[in-house]
Amino acid sequence: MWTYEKKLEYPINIKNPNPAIAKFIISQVGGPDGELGASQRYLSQRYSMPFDEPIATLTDIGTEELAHLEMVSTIVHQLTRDMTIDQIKEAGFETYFVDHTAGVYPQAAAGFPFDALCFASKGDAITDLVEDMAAEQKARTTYDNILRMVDDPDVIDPIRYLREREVVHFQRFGEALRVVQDNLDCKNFYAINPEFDK
Amino acid sequence: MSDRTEMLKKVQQLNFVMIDTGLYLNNQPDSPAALALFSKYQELYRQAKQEFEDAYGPLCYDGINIERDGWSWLQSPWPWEVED
Repeated sequence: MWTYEKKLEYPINIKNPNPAIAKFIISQVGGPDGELGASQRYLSQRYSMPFDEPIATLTDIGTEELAHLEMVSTIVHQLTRDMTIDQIKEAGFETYFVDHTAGVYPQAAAGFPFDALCFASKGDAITDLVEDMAAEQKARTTYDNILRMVDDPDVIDPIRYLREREVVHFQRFGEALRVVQDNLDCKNFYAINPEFDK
Repeated sequence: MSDRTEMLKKVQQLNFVMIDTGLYLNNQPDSPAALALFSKYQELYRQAKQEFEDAYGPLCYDGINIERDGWSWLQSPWPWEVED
C-alpha cells in the first residue's frame, strides 16, 4: 500500500503563470517518457522480478516517480492558475483549455492522451531493467529539451532537480542489472529468463 | 520565505537524504558509509518531522493529533498551492 505525505519531494513556488510553457511541460505528466508512465512501468515490473535488490529498486524508484508526477502536475497547475481568456488565446492554450479547462490531464505535448503502451513490462529481468535505464535517459533528454525552452528560474529550479533524479535512477537501475547478471550464468546471460524459467 | 516553508524545507531535505541513500543501499546493502548516513539522517528526519507537525499540522495520517487538533488534515495548505 501507499501512504500520502502532504508535501512535495522538492519545493515548487511559481510566481508567474505561463500557459505557453505548461503546454509542453505537460508531456512529463502524461507523455511517452513522463512520470505517470515511469511510475506504472516500475511498479508493474516488480511482481515477477526475481531477487530482492531489483524488486526494492523498482518499488522505491516507482514510488519516487509518483512524487515526481505530483511535482510536474504542480508545475502545470501553478503555470495555468488565474488565466484570463486573452492569455489563453495568446499562449495558444485554447486546444488544451477547451477539453480540460485548467485541470491537469495526462497527455503528451503534441496533445495525444496518456497511452499505457509506454509502460513496458516484458516479464524478463534483463529486458525490463535495460528498458528502465533507457526510460530514465529518455526522461532526462525531455527535461533537457524543456530547459532549453524555459527562462523562468521558478520553473528551471524544480525541472533541474527532476532531471538530476533521472541520472541517479539510471545509475541505480544499472546496479540492479548488475545484481541480476551476477545471479545468472556468466557464460550466457540469456540461457534462461529468470522471471519464467526455473 | 515563511517560517513554515523554511521548516518544511528542512523536512524535505532530510527526507531526501533517506530517499537517495535508500536507493543506493538497495543494491549495496552492506556499505558501512551508506548505512551510517541513512541511520543518522533517519533520526534527524524524525525529529524535524515531529517539530514541523507540532507547529503546522500533520504531513501524514500518523501525524494527526485528534485530541489536540481534531481533524487537522484539512487545515494546512495542499502541496501544490502557491505560497503568498
